[in-house]
Amino acid sequence: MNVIETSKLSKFYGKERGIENLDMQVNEGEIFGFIGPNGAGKSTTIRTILSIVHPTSGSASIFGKDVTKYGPEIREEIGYLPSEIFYYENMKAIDLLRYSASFYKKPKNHMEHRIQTLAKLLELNLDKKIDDLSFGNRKKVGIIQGLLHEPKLIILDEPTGGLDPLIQQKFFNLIQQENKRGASVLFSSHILGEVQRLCDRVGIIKEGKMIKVEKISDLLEKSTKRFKLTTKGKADKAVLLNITGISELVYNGNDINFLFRGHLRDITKAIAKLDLVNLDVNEPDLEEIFLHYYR
Amino acid sequence: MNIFWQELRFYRKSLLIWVLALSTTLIVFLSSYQSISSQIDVFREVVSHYPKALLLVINFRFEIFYTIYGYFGYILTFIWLAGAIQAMNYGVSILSKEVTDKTADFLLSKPVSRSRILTEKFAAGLSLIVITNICFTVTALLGAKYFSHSNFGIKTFIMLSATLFFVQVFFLVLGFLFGTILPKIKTVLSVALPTVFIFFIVASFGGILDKPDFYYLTPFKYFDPVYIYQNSGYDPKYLFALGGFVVTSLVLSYIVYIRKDIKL
Ligand SMILES: Nc1ncnc2c1ncn2[C@@H]1O[C@H](COP(=O)(O)OP(=O)(O)OP(=O)(O)O)[C@@H](O)[C@H]1O
Ligand SMILES: [Mg+2]
Repeated sequence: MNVIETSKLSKFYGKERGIENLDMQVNEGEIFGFIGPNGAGKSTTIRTILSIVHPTSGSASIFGKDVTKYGPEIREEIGYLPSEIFYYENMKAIDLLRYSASFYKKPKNHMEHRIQTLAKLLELNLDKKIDDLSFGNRKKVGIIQGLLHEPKLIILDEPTGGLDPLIQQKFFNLIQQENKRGASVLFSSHILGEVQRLCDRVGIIKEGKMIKVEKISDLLEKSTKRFKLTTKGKADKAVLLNITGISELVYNGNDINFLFRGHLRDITKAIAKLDLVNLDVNEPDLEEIFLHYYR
Repeated sequence: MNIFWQELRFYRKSLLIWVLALSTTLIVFLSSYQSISSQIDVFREVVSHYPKALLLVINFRFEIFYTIYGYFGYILTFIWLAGAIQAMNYGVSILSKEVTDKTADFLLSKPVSRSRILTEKFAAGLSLIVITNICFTVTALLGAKYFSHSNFGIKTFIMLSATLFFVQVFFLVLGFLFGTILPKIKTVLSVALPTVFIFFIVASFGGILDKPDFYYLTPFKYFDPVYIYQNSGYDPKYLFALGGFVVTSLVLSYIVYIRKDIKL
């Protein structure tokens, strides 16, 4: 079953495009990365499936239930970390978290225990007023608020902003733990490195449309790599002829330079026929791959 | 009920301040009742030189002014004005603060329906008004007993005092409607103050122009102390007007809020 499923989901703010005909499936148990540049529609998608804004057309369901009809019931099992920092004036962190817990049916002492454990893990002082907390520490309050009821679906909208690397690492571990426990995760971001480490699949959103959904492994495997070869003596040009996926092929004395996109097996087989002195393959990182899609 | 209790917690300080302010104002006014009533002839003379329009604006009714009811009724005009601002403040802010504090995403991602949010918040606002009025009425009764030295009908007195409640309900509901309809309210007072004063001005003009049809438009004209004193009750046509307004506005608030996009 898909935990999240949207079908031709569109949201317009008046004439302003939020998202347009967006199709997305998040499988049960996976960590799904949701990647796109600023203004692409990540937050809009999330806020639409949470019924904070209403879709202009199309539909969305979570746990197989339509979000517009079963909102409260669905949200019982969702933990959400908004991208915007929020706080009620004059409220201590612990008060906000207890208020948050009071919405859920889970046993109270269990949630209280979770609050304390998570606060210790993230090194957050719960007795401080939220107004007085730093940006990163407020973010921690948001994280705890989203996880304290052990939701089946965790939705994170650009969660890492403001967290120092150490806390970020702890946060990622935490998300992975939750995932092992059985929670599905929708992770929105424009920082690509973190998605690469954490996610099983990524969807790339651009100008309100989902333009690509791929497994991280496929994305890396099928991505373009730069090859630099040096042969002993003159290379046999026939070897690299007719191999699909090669581009920008340049022979320069004993050096051969080219880009390759495709299965590595095909290219390594071919290269094996050459008498190599040196082989240099550059693994492009996700940033490069995504720049390709962003364009 | 968690939203309800939380809202009461949010507003307890403000409630305390308002109750103290209203009660103090009332006591200060009541304490001068004795000196005014003992020099009623002088006072009559002075007031007869006031322009008629001014008397109408401050709701000055000569027929009963020199009784404790009349004097209380006269004070009430100012209390209504302050109470209206308090109520409108609560009505507007109880919804709009979720947007200005960016807590709307927090609240709306919880397992609650929009109508439950609205119901609990309205109940909280109404409770704040009820508490204000209980405190106010008790203060008024004690104050009148202490300062008037003559017997007075407690029932009539409570009926006069309760007009504050009705005026406040009007502005609470109106504020609530504003909170649902207006997309983003930066400062609550910038909405509440002008609105209350517009209603006050309409009431004044209605009085000055002697156009009783105007009276339906503004709660400041729904409760005439003389009428309440003479009939031991409220004018039913205005009670209907108030009831109609409250029901219509609430229904509208629910319809708007349930379908509304909550902006960041
Ligand atoms: N309340 C609103 N009114 C009008 N337009 C809006 C509103 N909210 C979002 N938009 C528009 O919708 C588009 C998508 O915005 P959204 O916030 O979903 O992007 P995003 O992918 O979350 O971006 P970011 O990475 O900056 O958070 C943008 O072009 C934005 O201008
Ligand atoms: Mg966003």
